[in-house]
This record gives sequence, structure tokens and C-alpha cells, in this order.
Amino acid sequence: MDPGIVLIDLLNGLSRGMLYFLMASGLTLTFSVLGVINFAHGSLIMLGAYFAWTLLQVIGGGWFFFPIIIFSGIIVGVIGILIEIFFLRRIYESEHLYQLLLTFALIMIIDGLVLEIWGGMPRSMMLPGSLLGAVSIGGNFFPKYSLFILFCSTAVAILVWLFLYKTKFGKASRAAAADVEITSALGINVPFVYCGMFAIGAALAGFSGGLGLAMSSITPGVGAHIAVTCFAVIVIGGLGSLVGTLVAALILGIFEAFGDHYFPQVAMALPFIIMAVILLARPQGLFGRKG
Amino acid sequence: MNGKNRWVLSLTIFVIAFLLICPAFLPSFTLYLLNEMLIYGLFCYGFYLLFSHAGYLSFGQAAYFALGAYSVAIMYKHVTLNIWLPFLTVIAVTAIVATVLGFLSVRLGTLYFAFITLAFAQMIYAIVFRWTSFTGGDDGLPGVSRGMIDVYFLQIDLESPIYFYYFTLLIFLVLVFVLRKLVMSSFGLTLRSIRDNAERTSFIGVNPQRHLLIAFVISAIYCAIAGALHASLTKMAYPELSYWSTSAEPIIMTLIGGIYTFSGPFFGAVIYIFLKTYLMTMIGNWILFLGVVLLIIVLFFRKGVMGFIEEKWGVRL
Amino acid sequence: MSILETKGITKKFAKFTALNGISLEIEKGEIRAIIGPNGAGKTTFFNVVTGKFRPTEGAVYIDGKDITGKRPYEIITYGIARSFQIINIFQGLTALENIALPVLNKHGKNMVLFSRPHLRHDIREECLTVLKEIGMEHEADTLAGKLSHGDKKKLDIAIGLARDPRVLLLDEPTAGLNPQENKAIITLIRKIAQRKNLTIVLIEHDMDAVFSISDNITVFQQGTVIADGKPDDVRQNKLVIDAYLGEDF
Repeated sequence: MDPGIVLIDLLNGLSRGMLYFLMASGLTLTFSVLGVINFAHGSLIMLGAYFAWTLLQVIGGGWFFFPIIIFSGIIVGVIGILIEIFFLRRIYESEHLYQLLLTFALIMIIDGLVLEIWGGMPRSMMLPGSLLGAVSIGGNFFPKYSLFILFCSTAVAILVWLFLYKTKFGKASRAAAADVEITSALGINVPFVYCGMFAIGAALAGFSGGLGLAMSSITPGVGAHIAVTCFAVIVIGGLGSLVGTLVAALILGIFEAFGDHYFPQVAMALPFIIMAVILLARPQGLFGRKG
Repeated sequence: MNGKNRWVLSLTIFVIAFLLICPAFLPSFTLYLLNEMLIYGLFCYGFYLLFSHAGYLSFGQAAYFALGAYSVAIMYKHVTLNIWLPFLTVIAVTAIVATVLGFLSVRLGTLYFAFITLAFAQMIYAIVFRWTSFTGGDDGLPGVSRGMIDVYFLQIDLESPIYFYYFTLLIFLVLVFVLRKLVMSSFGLTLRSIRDNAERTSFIGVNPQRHLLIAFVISAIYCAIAGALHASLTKMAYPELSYWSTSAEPIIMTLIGGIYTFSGPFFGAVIYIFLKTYLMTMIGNWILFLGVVLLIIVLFFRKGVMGFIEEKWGVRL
Repeated sequence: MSILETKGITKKFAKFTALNGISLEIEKGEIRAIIGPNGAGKTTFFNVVTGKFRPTEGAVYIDGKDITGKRPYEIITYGIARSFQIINIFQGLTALENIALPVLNKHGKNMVLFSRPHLRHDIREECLTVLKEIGMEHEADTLAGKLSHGDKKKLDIAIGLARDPRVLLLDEPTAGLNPQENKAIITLIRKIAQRKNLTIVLIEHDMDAVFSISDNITVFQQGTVIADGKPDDVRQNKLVIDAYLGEDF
């Protein structure tokens, strides 16, 4: 095994892993604070990609690329606020099944709207010239954009950490995640926290979609596919644990990168094999709490 | 038997009678549709047993649907057209896979159970997708036969739409009858108690996992038989049948019909397929429409159509 | 030989020791009360005996047979049943169905796939008999979730009773009841206590009830037994009085 190639595979894995983390982090935050598993999360990610695509068509690429991706994230965040207020709120008290079905309905509505607005043709984004091409690392080539994804995802991850631990809202969210009744009794506006947190989760999803799908083709079906990978990540990492999501995402990313290279036949099923193994050996995931 | 129940019985007999004689006057397209409704009805009943009675939501029942579809397609193509062995294979393969996967899955609580069924469904999807030589991979298997019945002196080629319809109808009626017995039995009561309070059942002496496993395997077999019939009807088998979102269809159909009503799964399938066929031409964007319908049901009409009627009329349907 | 015996039961949860070396012997037909301040480990003890938890150390014997670490549904077949402090019934089923389940289990008929033993005359009669004993036969077809709080508690106990156990563990049967409901439950317990073949172990805080019904009392504190004996002896035991300092005793 050529160490240079191994390094490339590793970097590839890290880049994918951090992207998975970014994508799944919104799901984890939503679950830990609101207690709801948002099945439509994949669709929100996809939505971010489509918004970014449209904006790029209208405004043009180049220096606008990164701001556009951020802005797409914000748009999806706003949509998240609307979803929380008009739909999610009604089912917090219901059985888990109905919460699940509601978010499932949202998948179909979002996917359907996407089909309606953007059509079924695969779309691809125009990357700015500065991010195209590859750099030479240890004598081998590594796509510049993958490095870009790695840097952006890590930066956003740090921002999220700072937000959760250093800001008032972040602390309130963590309190609500731990114990809603006490948090409410302390005078913290829990509905506002719920809404805000869902919006942030949605914004992260939208942003990760724009960032992550820039190199792939975007179709209305891509949401369901990403969703199921995110579920694998959060189950492996442990529901509600952000650290777990990070570790699981990196593990999956690295396994996939090496898997694609050395065991392509199995690569497709790999996340689910790991997911099943974890569910059987340690259902609460790597970092989840039992019970 | 009081007056209302007599009505229900009469209606049931009427519906069955209708199903028996309608090939005489229905156009072939409508017959095809009805055939689909019966098949999806079976798929829904598989899901219904596991969910409405045992209380376990599975994203993986579509995997058994696919298993049934592929088993029958491959058996018809390579082994024999006579229905007995292919269907026996469907049941055997499903029973084995479902017992293994089910045994691993039922140890988990309802949430993790849903996730592991999702994981297994995706794994089966990946296997079907990749094993191109055996399953045709991404393209699937076209030209699936409808088989024929060959027993002693009786030889019926099921390619004919009418014969195949009766074949499906017979299987449907028998399996639904069996399910009815199952659901009303003490096994059904025990399942419902597990759904209600799994912890307490173990303190009564009931082994919840064993009961759940039995329900899981029976459910899988129903889904697989539906899948086998579906492959024959549409003459196709393809990997997407196993994808986790395909499992959503029986869930939604059963919800529309009435998730806690015995006739819910069948009427749910009927309504769903009817709407899909006739509204598709008008509305075009079926997914969006379905999403809105599901949203309305989840927020306002949880009991579904039959459940709603049940409540208004005061009967059990 | 004692019908229920535990030897050195210790249960640790991570760093917390809930039970430390509990050794009890309960005789057939006895009515034993287990009392102690909150958090003393009484319910944990029940959980270990009925198989919900596996003890870290120690053993449990029913009628001389070792049942340590077995699963609840296995232990039940040895003749132990229990009720729960927080109501733990089948809210979505009728009262009759709630009773039918343990009755069916007793007859080994939970898995009958096609017929309906629970609707058969003899099984139904048996269920109604149990319901009559708790004074609820007229509520047979009422949904358990719609019963009054006191009735739900009675049903909880009846579910355990319906299996005709040799040992019945009652976990705070009067918890959360108003004085009237309380009296009804105590009367019920007194009634079933008269059954010759039944051994009752009860966790209770209602001291009047405890002292009037029990043959023997065991006192728990912080996971250990600090006193064990006849009601009068326990009542005067200094350790026990200290343990309850500040509480109604």
C-alpha cells in the first residue's frame, strides 16, 4: 500500500466525515432539545442545495459562492421556523408514531415541491474557478473542493460548539435538552428555544446541503438517500450526543473512503452494517446514555 | 347479533360477492387496478399485524416485499412455472430471513427497532442492487411470469388477467381470513397487551420477544406473498422495492383506511390506489398531494376513514 | 423450608450500592411487611426478586429452587406475582382482558393462534371470579384507562392475583390513594391474606395497615436490613425509630 494513497484516502474520509457531521448535527440538536426525530432532515439538506443552485444561476458564482451557500442555509432556517410553528408544535404531546408520520409527510411535501419547482432533471452547481481542480499532496492529487469542505465543516463545527457552550441561547438549549420542566420553571422561554433550535438545525442542514452537494448532481430523490445516512450516523454515535455524531460521522466517512477504494461491493451497505452492529451490541450508540 | 352488526356482515358478504363476480363486467384496466388493490391490501395487512397489534413500526417490511418479488421472479425463470414451488420458496426464504433478522430486532425497544429494520432494509437493497448476476442489479428483472397452476389434471395458465385476478383474490381471502382469526385469538390479545405495556406482560409470565418474533415472521410472510403477486402482476422486480421509503406506502395506506380498524388496511389500499390512478392525471404531482393528505390525517383524522365511520356508526369494522 | 429466601443480595448500579447483603427468609402463608424510609432499596429488592434486575451478588430461592438472574416471565412460572407502586396496568384493554392475560398464561394459552380461549365460558368465568373478589365484576367491560384511580390500583393487584401465585409481592398498594380508597385496599389485602396458600410480602408506608396486618416486619435502610421481627419488637427497636426520625411513626 502506497502511503501517499492512504493519506489521500484518509483526507477523503475526513472530508466526507466532517460533511456528514455537519449534515447530521442538525438532526442531533433537534432530537436532543425537542425530542423529535426529524425524518425530513434529508429533505431540508436537499432544499439547501437547490436554493444554492438557483442563487448561483441568478447571481453567478465566483466570489459569491460561499455567501450564497450561507444564505441558502439561512433560508432553510427560516423555513424551519415556519415548520416548527405551524406543524411541529401540534405534535409534541402526541405519540412518537405521529411525530414520525408528520415529519414523513413533510418529506413528501418538500420533495414534491422541489419536483414541482425545479423539475426532475439532475442539477449541478457551478463551482468557482478557485475551488476547482486538485492540489498535490504527497505526490498524489486531492480535489481542492474536498479540502474546502473539510475546512468549512470544521469551522462551522467549532462555531456550533462555541454557540452551545458560550452563548446564553446555547446554554438555555442545553438546559431544555436536559430537563424541560426545570428549564421552564427557571423562566426560560421554552417554545422560543424549541423554535430557535429547530431553525438552527434546519439552517445547518441547508448549509451542509449547499456545501456538500456542490460536487454531485442534485435530484429530488437525493433527500431520502442523505436522510438514511444521517440516521446511521446518529444511531451509531448515540441519539442526542453531538460528540457521538462527530465521532460516528468521521468513522463512517473514513470507512466509506477506504471502502470505496478497496471494497466497492460492500461500500453501499457499510453504514447500515455498522448501524446494525451497534444496535445489536450497544443500542444506545457510542456516546449515548442507556435507557 | 344486533342490527348494526348484521349490517356489517351483510356488507362484508356483498363486498366479497362483488369481488367474485366483477370480472364479468369490469373493463380490463379496472380489473388490473382491483388486482393491485388486493395485493397492496395484503402488504398492508402484513404491516397492520406488526404495527396495530404488536405496536412495532417497521421500515423493513418492504424488504420482504422485495424478497417475495425476486424469489418468485427467479423461480419462475429458472426452475418451474408451476406456482407451488415458487410460492413455497417465497414462504421459506422469508421465514428464514425474517426469523434471523426478527430475532435480532425484537430485543430492542420500539424506536431502535424501527432503526434496525431501516438498516436491514437498506442492506437488502444494497445486496439486491449489487448482486447483478443474480438479481439483475439496478435494472431489476423484467418479464416476470405469472406462473401456472398444474395439479393432477388441472392446468391453468395464469397469464390471463382474469385467471390471475381470481388467483390473487383467493390468496387474499384466505390470508385475510387467517389474519382475522389470528387477531381475534388469545395470541392477538397477548400482542395487544405487549403493545400496551410490554413490561407488565413479562411480569405475567409472557415472553414478549417470542410473541413479537412470531408476529414479525407472519407479517413478513404476508408482505412477501404480496411482493410475489406484485411481481407477477406488474411483470417486474426491481431493487427500489426494498428501499426504506417504499415501506412508507403500506404505512400511509393503512393510516388512510384506519390504523386500528380491521378493514382499514384493505380500504386504505383501495382508496390510495384509486386516488393515485385517477388523480395522477389531474394533479400530476402525486408526492406533494400525498404529503398533504398524510399531514391532514396525522393532524386531524388519526383514525382514518374506516375508523371515522366506526366511531360515527358505533360498530366494529 | 421457607417459600421465599434471599441470601446476600447485593445490587450495585455503577458507583451506587442500592442493596447490600439482604438475607431474608419468608415462610409459607406469612404476611411480611417491608418498611423503611424512601430510597432504602425496597422496590429495588422486589425488582431483583422478580427478575427485573440481576443481583450483583447473592441468590434468590423460591421453595428451595434457585431463580437468581432468571427473566421475569420465567420467574412468574415459579409462582411469584407482583403489583406496582405506580399503576402498571393495560390501559387500552378492558378490565376483563387485563385479568384474562394472566389467567390465560396460567393455563398456558397465550399463544393459541386461532381460537379465542379468552372468550370461552370457563376462562371468562374465572376472570369474573377474580373481578368479583375485588368488587369490580360490573366493570368487566370497561376500558382500564377509564377506571377510577382506586379501581386501577385494585386491578393492578388483581392482575398479580389472577395467576394464583404462591407468593404475592405488593409494592405500596396504598400509594396515592385517598382515605376511602385506602380503606378499600386494606380490606382487600386482609381478605386475600386469609387464603391459606398465599404468602404476601408488602412494601408499605401506611403504618396502621402494616402493624395491623403483618405477621412479621422487616425494616430496610440504605440497602441493608436494620431490623426484622414481630411488629411489637420492631416498633420498639431504637434503630428503627432513629431511621424514621422526623417521619410519622
